[in-house]
Amino acid sequence: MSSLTIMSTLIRRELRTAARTRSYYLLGLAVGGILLGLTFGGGGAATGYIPTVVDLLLPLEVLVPIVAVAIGYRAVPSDLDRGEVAMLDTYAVSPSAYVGAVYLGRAAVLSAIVGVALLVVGLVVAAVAAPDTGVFATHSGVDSPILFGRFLVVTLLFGNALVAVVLVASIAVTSARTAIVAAIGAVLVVVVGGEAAILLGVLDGVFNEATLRLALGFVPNSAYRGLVFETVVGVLSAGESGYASPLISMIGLVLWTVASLGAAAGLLRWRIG
Amino acid sequence: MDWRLPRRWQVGLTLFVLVVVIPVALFGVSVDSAAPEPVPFQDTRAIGVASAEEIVADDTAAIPRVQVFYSQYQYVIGYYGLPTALAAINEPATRQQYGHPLVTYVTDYSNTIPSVGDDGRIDTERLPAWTAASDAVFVVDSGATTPVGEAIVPFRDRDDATTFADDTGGRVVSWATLSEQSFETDDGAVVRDRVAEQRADADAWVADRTELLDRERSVTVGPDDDLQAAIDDAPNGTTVAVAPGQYPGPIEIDHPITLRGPGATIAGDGAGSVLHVTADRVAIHGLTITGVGNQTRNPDAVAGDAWDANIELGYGHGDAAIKATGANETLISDVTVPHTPANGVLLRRSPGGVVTNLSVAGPEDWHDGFMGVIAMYSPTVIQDSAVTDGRDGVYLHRSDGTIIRNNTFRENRYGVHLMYSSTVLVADNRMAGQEYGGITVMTDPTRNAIVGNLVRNTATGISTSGSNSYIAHNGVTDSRIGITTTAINSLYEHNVVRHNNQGMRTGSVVATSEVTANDFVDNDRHAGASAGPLRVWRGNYWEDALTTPSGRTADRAYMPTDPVDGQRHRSMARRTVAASPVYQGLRELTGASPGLRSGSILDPDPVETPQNPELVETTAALHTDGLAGVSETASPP
Repeated sequence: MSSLTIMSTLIRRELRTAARTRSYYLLGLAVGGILLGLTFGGGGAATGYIPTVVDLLLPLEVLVPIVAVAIGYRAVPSDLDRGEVAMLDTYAVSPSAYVGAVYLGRAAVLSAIVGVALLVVGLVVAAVAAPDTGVFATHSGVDSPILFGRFLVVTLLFGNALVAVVLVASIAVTSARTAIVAAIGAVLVVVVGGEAAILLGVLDGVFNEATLRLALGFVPNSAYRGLVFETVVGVLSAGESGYASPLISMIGLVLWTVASLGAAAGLLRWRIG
Repeated sequence: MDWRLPRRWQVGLTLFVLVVVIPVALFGVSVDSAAPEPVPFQDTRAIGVASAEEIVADDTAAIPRVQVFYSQYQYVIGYYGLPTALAAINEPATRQQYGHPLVTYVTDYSNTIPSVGDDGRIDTERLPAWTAASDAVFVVDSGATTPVGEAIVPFRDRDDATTFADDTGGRVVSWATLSEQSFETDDGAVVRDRVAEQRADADAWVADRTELLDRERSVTVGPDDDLQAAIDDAPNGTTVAVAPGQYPGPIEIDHPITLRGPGATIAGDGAGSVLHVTADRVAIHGLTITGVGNQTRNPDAVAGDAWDANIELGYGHGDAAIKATGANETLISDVTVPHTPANGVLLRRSPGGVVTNLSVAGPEDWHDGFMGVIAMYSPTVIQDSAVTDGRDGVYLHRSDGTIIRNNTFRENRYGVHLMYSSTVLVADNRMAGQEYGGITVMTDPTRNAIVGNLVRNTATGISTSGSNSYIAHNGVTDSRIGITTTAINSLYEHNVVRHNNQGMRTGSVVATSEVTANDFVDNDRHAGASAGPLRVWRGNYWEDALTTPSGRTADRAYMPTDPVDGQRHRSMARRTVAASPVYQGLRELTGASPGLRSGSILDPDPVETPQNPELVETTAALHTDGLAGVSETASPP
């Protein structure tokens, strides 16, 4: 079997497992419900996409990591517990291929849950957003579904980076029961710790504007927030930019993903080897 | 042949499009590439002229027009005149609220064969169409004027512009050049700086008219004499003294004398006006007037063909205790009208008058009465007077520059009612129990100042309109709505609203006013918003709205229109809700896109203590004891 075939078999196995897991549907409903609740609660949806993004951004910074933990923490440990990883070894499946496949499967689940929820929110905005009064001629300004699309893409990039972080944390501990603790701990370290480190750095005057933007790119939450500010909300004001360096933030999120997956594969190799 | 790709390729291709192509495309596409098409000007929210001028200039070509689509504002804003538009576009507050102009359209005078009349007015043979400002050139210094100042005339066709410039002695400039120039409009702060001067002018105005009381006495009339004959015989510039007693009316004064009679009553026969003044510089002092007719309009009156002829016929030809027509600089002082079924004092085309210490009472039901003082085309000082039970305490029509101060109005329909009148000062009046409103401004005037008034128990305490106005140091209590912020580009500061159903209410989709340092105390809702964008009001005091369980005041933005925030001062449980991270997360960035928000108000920097402690105390007394609780002469701030 070629490694590509193995990968696709494994991914399909992951997706089948996910499709059978009823709690994911519940999770999806819960996330959708929360986002819709926030959308209506925030009031921005009444007028357009950007106000909606502004309403949802901070809640999503908390919600998305939680979803990543819920989806990712058991994936590898339960296979390890059941000895399936050892069995895969007999088929000459490399740890990298295995980790990659598991990741892609889980990332697909997160993308489906968060993506569909945001799509529904987007459709709601498209349906209900309207000016308060028809007395005057109106237009939508720079507000457009494209900006909401960007928000969706950046949110998924953020969420999927956290799935990778959750995977590596869950492999670092010995059992599925402790995996959740490790996963939550890792997410906390990344989400809160990274932000706290930046804050400390700013307080101590370590950063100048350029290095701060660099540092923001390498903390997932900051990178996410910066990207949304820069590529979605900031579009409102021409010539106003510098909330983040989009390229660095994008690279930062991808690096978190790739590095976590690399570490996960290495750890797994070491554990079964 | 089977053209379908293998299934694996299909899946791969779909994934590639979903995961790579679409996301990359989303970031690659420019969001403001498609410029909206121009809309009919009457559909825009038009700014720049008062209604009175707008009606006069209702010719599409007379004022070059502009419409702007802002990046983060839903409503298309129209401007009368390029200077108005350029001043607004360059204003930092506009950028903050609306973002940058996505596209700006101007009326194009190419192919319209424009000319400039002797009065400076632009005339065209065809109606101008719209063109993008960036595609147009502009003729300045052509000598053409509009009701809002110098005309800058746009042309899409450069040759037409050059022809027009050559004909008129103007020059042609580009949009870029024009955009770099600085244009300014008077905002509420300019009006604020004018108030002291306007008070002083009024003092001088009153002092001059009061000199009419110093005229030498030429005759003293007793109850058995013929008053009309004595008046007719009195030389110009003298005083006719009227001894106490009753005299039959009606009386006409057609030359400049002073009629002076403490204790004297002139009794009309219940038909028509009682005293009719038709000459300049007549003074009427110390009389009581009864027997006023009950007609509020005159079917035989003629008013010419001006745009407001019907308004004049409807309001300006009723019966009055004292009627002045074509009589400049009239003084009416210490006059009592114990009952009038029509007007108290009617001034029509009689500018420069002073009405002081007048007392007028109408029928119990305002529907049966008319105005305490009505001034049409008559800038007047109306002061220290009292009107009870009338339709409107003071009604103005096209009387720019009128000063209404230190009056008391009780139980009318409106206390002060401004129609088509700009640059008016309404100061230090006290009013209670008006059915519809205390001070009501209509018809989009500009540069009015409403300062230091106290209003209690009415539908809308102070209802503003128009633009560039100054509304400050007023106290409104026990009303349905305290103050509306409908006048745009205006300054609302140091007002106190307490015990109202709604303290203040926004009323315009244009959020260019500054609302600051006001105190909101004990209102059911401190503020409400009608249709329009998010209004940012800075630095106000919202009583009890930000108190935390520890008794301290939270240092954070406040949204009086929010169901949670807006009831924090009334509901302890909502304070618990307001402290939730979810709520705070939702609210944290709300101010980021004000122009795209709707129907709400945000104070990003609420203050912890009342900004106007004295007025807060005064309004507390007004709330508990009514007008009896506040001093007769409100002290100017």
